[in-house]
Amino acid sequence: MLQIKRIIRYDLPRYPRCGQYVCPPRSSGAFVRDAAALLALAALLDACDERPLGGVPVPPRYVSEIDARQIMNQVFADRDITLDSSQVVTIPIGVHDTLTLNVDGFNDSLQVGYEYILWDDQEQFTPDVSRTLDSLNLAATPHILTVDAELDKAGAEAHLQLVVQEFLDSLAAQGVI
Amino acid sequence: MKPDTALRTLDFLSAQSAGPCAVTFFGGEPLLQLDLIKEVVARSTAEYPGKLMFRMATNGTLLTPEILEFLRANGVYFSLSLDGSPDQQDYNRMDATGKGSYERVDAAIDGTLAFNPYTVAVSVVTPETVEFLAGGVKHLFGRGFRYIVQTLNYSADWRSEDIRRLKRQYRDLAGYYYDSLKAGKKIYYSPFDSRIQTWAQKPIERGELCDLANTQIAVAASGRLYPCVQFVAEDDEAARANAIGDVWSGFDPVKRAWFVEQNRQERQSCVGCALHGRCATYCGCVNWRTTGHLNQIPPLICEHERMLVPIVDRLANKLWKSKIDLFKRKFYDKSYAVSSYIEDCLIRKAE
Repeated sequence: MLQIKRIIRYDLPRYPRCGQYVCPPRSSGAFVRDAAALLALAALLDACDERPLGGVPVPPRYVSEIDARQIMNQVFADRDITLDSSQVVTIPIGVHDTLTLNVDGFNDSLQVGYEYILWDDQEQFTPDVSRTLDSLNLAATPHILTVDAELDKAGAEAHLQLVVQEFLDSLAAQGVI
Repeated sequence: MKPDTALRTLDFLSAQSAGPCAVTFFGGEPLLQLDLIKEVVARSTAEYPGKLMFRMATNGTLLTPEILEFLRANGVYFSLSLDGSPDQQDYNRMDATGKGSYERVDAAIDGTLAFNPYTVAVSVVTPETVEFLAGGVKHLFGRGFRYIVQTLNYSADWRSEDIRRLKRQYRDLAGYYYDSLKAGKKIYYSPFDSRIQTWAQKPIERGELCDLANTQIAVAASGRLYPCVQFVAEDDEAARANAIGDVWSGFDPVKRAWFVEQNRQERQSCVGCALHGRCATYCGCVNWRTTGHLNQIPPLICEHERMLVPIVDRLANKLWKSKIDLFKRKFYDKSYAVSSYIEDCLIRKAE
């Protein structure tokens, strides 16, 4: 039977509330640049019988797995959580199903760990698997943080640290660690 | 509606509105009265230029290239009542012969989106069509729609099991929404977007989501005025108890004020709830239709919001954490509507 119930306790969302973050409007310079690029492309397409293939695509550079593990392990270590690397973890999904994953770092006694997802991890960490992990109730164990590969640019290290800290904060708030 | 009533309505609305006023043709199916719509639009253009804007909610089955051209020439924008995939649409939306309407609506989609790429598809979910929900939404976005407004049929007999099935569908869609924004696809899906907005932009204030009897009113075919379309029903004796005037003699100020005041009252069952300001309990029309009271919410809304808001927040957390540029622009850049439109124009030109 459907019911009206007040929610007494609700974890605050981790994306910014109104006023906490303002996305800078795209500058007029950026507009002009984008417009020029698009119009040039349009002109190019108009001028060609066949669609141009464009230049050689340059793959983005990501923080390497070794570096990422080092950064993330350190945040766990700062909370006195030591991790074993490359552990096989079995995660119950629903009543009957399980999911077996090889994760980058895992603490067996706390049932807490993480996986930094690079290209070669995509096979096991499909979007469906990541979504499943995300949707698992916090009360369910183990707790695996999945982090998509971080672009190798200024601030990457700080962002990785922040992601792990937020994850651990939420576990601490739930009394898991 | 008789022509003299329609024309009198124009005079009434024009006199009552200090600024521009949006007039939405609704039904039934408004295009069954196309000649009257043309007469109304022509009269408005001649007598009240720039004062009245026309909108329409249509099921799309009667749209033809000629009608689309008339609507385009007169700036009559419309939403399309389209639930989702063929199975979903044909389950509840059939013609008099019992034949599903999807095929006929589908034939009008390309022309509709050429007329206005931002046309809103309005989808209604019933307990019987829950299983189609995620597939239907993906189908509509795949068909070229960018805006989907989705609501539940609040009058239907929803059970706890239906809410659980609905939850699975929303979770599936959360993944789809994430992937879409990550890929730079600009989509609007009201169950997600509107709730993210209540955190990232502004909580819902009373009277904001639904300003019935005040800045929004409904005019029945008879010319009677109602607080909202939900109150018109058959416009019979029972419905008339809720009328707040008519286009000839004007508003009944006492009745009108009563509806406005009732709608703005605090929903007592929600006081102290952590989701206060984030859910749709402020729609007095839905409350009235389901519970008979403007400020008393139905259990269905509460169950739905308690299930949906956490899914939406987890989705938004992930979008934020992943630094998805489109997410930041969409919800935190005040110039997004304009910059996005210009961007779209440039892309269309390049294509």
